[in-house]
Amino acid sequence: MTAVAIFGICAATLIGIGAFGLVTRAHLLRRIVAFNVLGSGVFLMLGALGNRDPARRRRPRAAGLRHHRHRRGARSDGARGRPDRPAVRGDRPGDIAGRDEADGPDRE
Amino acid sequence: MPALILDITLGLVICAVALGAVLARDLLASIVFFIVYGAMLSIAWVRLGSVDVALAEAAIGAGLTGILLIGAAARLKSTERPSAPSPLVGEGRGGGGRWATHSTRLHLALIIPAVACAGLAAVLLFVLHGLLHETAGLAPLVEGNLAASGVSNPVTAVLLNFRGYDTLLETIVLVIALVAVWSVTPDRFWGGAPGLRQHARPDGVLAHFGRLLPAVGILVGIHLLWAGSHAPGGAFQAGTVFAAVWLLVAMAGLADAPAVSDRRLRLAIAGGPLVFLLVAAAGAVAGTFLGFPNLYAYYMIVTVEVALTVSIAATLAMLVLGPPRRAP
Repeated sequence: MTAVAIFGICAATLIGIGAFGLVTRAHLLRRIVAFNVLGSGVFLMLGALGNRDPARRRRPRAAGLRHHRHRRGARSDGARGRPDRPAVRGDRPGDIAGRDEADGPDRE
Repeated sequence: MPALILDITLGLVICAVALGAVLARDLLASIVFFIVYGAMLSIAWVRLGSVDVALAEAAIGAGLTGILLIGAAARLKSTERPSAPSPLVGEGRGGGGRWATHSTRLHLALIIPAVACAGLAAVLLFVLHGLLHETAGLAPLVEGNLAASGVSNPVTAVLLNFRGYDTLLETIVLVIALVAVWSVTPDRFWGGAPGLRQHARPDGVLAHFGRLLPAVGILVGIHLLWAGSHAPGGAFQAGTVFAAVWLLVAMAGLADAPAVSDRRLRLAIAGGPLVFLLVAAAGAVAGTFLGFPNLYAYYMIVTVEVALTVSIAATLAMLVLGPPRRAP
């Protein structure tokens, strides 16, 4: 199971919880909270689906993570939850130019 | 494997906290659950590799929305009737008797939505399962055109260049929200400073942090703003941090917020969308409205980001402080 699947399931559950709160709560603010839960669930689902691209997942995002990976050498994919992946570009020390911060078009 | 365990635990915690936010009997407890939910969700976004979203979720989803909800709860409390009869779930007050007399109806009123919402989640899972095949989506398109955008952070490229319209409208919506908040000001207070005058013990924790944290917050905000062109960060994140600094200073009673009629304040608030529109119009002169010529794209985007940061910081801080409640 990948992070995409886990957070996809989480998102579907959140949408269910939010919808339940929206229907059953009478207080206005409780409904706003429930609607926010629902909305962030939808957003999380889209975010998880936007993360399906295997090439995107391989790239480390944050500088700290990148540093960590370089220190541990080429066999460091565990940091992204995919121990079965082959070593890829960006794993070699010095190959940090350009595309590390790839983060997709998903944001609020 | 440890990453998998972390993800699963995180997913379970997020769902549990969301349940708490929806089911908690007390309104304030529900809001506190919701703030924790936002914080947990931002960790999930980091796990999904979207640091920009994580920053926005932590700052706006958890922090700002939380403060606004607490403020709204405090204000609604004074308008509530002592024992408002709720047709559905008792909101934590006087529920005992009702539960006994209407238990069947109450159970149906909860079970039917629960089943329906579980069904909704199941359908979504089914759809999700069909969509799980690996696909690149629009990411290659973004990366293929990244060189033309003027920045190297794809999120900033999308927000300010490829989908500039969305961001422009979003900033205008923020200003309209503030206009809406200010428009509920009673006539006698119009032109006064927002909210009530804040007091804090001069040797207390709040006053102390009010002097200590702004220096750090301003540095973090400037970093986020500057980093936005090549790393996670940008106007919204930086603006939220600046707004938090401003609110801290205001709540510690160290510096009062300016009056809502203050021209500099209004210019700062309207400045973001205005500069964005001007830059977009400059693009129109060069060819396309909101199109940034490759050569100047970086400078145009940085200009817009700086103006937006000021505007977002001022707007968010004023939104939290609320409509004026003092005569000018």
